[in-house]
Amino acid sequence: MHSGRDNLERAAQALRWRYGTWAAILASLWLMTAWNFLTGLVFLICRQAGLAELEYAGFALAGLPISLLVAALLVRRRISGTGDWLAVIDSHNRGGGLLLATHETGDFAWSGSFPSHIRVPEIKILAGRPLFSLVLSIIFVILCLKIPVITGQLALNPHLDLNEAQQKLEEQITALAEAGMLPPDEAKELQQGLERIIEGSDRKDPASTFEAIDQLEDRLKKRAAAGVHEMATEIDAMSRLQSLADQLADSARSGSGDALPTQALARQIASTLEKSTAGKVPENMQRALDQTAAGGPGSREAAAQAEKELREHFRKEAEKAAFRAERLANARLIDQKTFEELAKAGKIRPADESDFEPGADTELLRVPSTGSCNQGGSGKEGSGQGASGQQGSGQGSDAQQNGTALSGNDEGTGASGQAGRGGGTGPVNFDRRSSEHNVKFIDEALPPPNASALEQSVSIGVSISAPQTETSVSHGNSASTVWQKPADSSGESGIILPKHRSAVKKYFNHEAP
Amino acid sequence: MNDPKKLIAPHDLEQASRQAHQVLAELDRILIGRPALHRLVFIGILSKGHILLEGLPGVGKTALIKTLGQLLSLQFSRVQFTPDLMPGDILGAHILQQNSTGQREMVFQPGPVFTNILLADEINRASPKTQSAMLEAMQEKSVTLLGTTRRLPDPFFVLASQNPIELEGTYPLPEAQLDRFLFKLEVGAASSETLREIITSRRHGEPPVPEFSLGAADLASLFAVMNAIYLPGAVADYIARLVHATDPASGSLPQIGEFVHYGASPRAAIAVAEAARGVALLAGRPSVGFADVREVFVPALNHRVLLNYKARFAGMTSGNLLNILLKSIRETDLEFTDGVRTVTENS
Repeated sequence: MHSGRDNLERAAQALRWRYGTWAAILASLWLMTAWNFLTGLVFLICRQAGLAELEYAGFALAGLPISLLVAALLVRRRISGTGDWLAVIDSHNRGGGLLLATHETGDFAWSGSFPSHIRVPEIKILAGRPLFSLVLSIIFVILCLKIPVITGQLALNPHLDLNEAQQKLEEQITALAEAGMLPPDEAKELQQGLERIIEGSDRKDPASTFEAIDQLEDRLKKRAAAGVHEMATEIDAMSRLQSLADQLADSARSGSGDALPTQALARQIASTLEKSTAGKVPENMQRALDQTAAGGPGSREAAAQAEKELREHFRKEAEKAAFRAERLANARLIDQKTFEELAKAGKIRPADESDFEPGADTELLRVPSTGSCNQGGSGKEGSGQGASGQQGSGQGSDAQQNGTALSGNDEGTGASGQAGRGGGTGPVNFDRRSSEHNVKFIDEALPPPNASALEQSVSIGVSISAPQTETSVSHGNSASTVWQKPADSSGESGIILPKHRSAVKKYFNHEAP
Repeated sequence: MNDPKKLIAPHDLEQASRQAHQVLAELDRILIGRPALHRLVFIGILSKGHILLEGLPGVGKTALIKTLGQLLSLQFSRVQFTPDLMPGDILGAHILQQNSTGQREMVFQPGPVFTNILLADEINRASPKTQSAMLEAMQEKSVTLLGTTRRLPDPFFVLASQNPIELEGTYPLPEAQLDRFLFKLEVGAASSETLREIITSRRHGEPPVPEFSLGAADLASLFAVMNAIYLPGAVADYIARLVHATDPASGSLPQIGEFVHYGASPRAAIAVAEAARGVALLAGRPSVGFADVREVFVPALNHRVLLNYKARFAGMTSGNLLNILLKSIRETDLEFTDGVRTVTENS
């Protein structure tokens, strides 16, 4: 009897454990799903508020043991007594309710009729839906970690994104420093000021930041303009020196025997050169000039040597100025006004056809476009009235304009330019006439209305369309109108319905008394 | 024997089971080729239920009932139901009779209903008035006439038959009366082997005389054992779930909601439980099992589940629906955690 009872208890216990284990696993899947969604949402909110970091992402793993524990407790609470398990076992073993009846009554008189081996049924778990939900929750967690990164950084970083402006200004400061227009200390001070502006930028108040940047940019441009002005002054001085050098060469070559003008020119050149170079006259040149100014038997050779040294000096100075101007232009620090000053100084000359030939080594200053057309009308040799135009590649006001100064041709038949993207810099002329200005329509003689012929015509029908006149000569003045077929929308039909045909015939065949 | 906390003694059950099998074996010997029908009819008798047999004429309905009456040593009456049959023709009537003193008095003349087994042949041919006269007799097992209630003999069974063809001039049984039948059994055509055996062994269609019959005491003992068969809680729950699932409002199956007009009544659940006890007795078990319920579920409910017109159009019968239900409702429903199932042989 006890053996039968033990068998029942063991079978029920085995099934309970088997069922409970799988039920706990299934419940834990659901709980983990709920955990993932809940904590993912909380993490999302915390990240938005700046209260959580990405390193705290391990929260999802923490849910695994917690879910298992809670699921086990829940299943343990919900699993009932032995009777339910014995019902399953009885059904599985085809016990005919004997196992159940024995358990319920406690009467083991029939325990000998129990199955020799009580089989415990297998457990099948339907985990499709919970697994799918769990996968969804994991995807949600991953999205919580990935998607909010952008918004989270925005929330954590209140500064403006000024990388482009910062890079531009840093480049301008460097260009000014390299061009010798900005002392290193001041360049460092400006650089630090720029960094303070960037660090002090605030998304909530961008106006003050941009105003500070504008002020700094304006300051740099003013400094560049001053530097370019100084450079132009130097170039003016060089021009005068070049003129004096030409005179010196002419005087030395003429060999008139009067050495006084040559000596005077040499002294004047030495004096001017002393001023323009601030006393840093090259030694060879100074010696040649001194020798020329002193006169004597070797003064002619000295003058030629001085002229040669001067030209070499001019070339170096011109190269130096070109480099500085190009550097400033690359840093977008030269505007139109500055460009004109340089052009006036002769450093920018109109391009000719040889400049565009392959292998031409033309030194042209690249000048940033300011949105207007360069009026370089004074061509080198041209006397035409064509305006030399510059059409740069307009890519916005901040974009670097790679326009090339070009001139009109000799005939001055029109502007030539380099086409590019954008609106261009050419002037807009509103009073220009189109190519079809003088075109007129050809007068076409229409046929006469033949109104008189219509007056003599006889109406034989009504139509919504206008009557056509017969222009045939054979008809003469009769000008009879031709019956037009009525349109579909005509108020009269040419078809008499059979139903009324007899009545109509009868009416028209009726003889008047 | 009737202690609800005690199972019936193996010896008592064994004797009752042996007697029941003897009756069945004799029935199978006398009436050839329908052991399943005999088994269900005898289960109905053991459950003290009324049985409605439906089949064509000549398939052996009357012979079965007659033989059963002989085997159980019970009084047997047969009433051929016709449209002009009146309630008094069944229940009995008071007639004017002269007594020994020469005085005349109204004397109750019992009708054929006062018997143990009443064969109501072609019951659907009687008028509703006559059919209704059977209601009290079948449920209360008593007859009330002129204010006097008279008990019917115990046991009392109505074994009715109806012909599924020639429906013109018939009166289908109302639901209230149908519900009083424990089983509605279809008596189908016999197989060729059965027919061959019948025509070779039965001259003039006369069945052999029973060689065995149960006495009144034996029958009472069988009924007592039936009462002692234990119905476990899980099995009772299974019956309840099955019967409840026939209600279209239960939402158990889409087909039930679509085709069933009215589900089974609580009387149906009682009938299933009682009939399942009979199956357990025949199996020699002191308790009702899930398989016992499955065996009697369709015969006990196929006339209690009323289908709607959609079912008729779809060709759906109540038997088909109940079989679908049996396949859908699990014997044990733990309902602890959704998604975890025990893999049993019948699942």
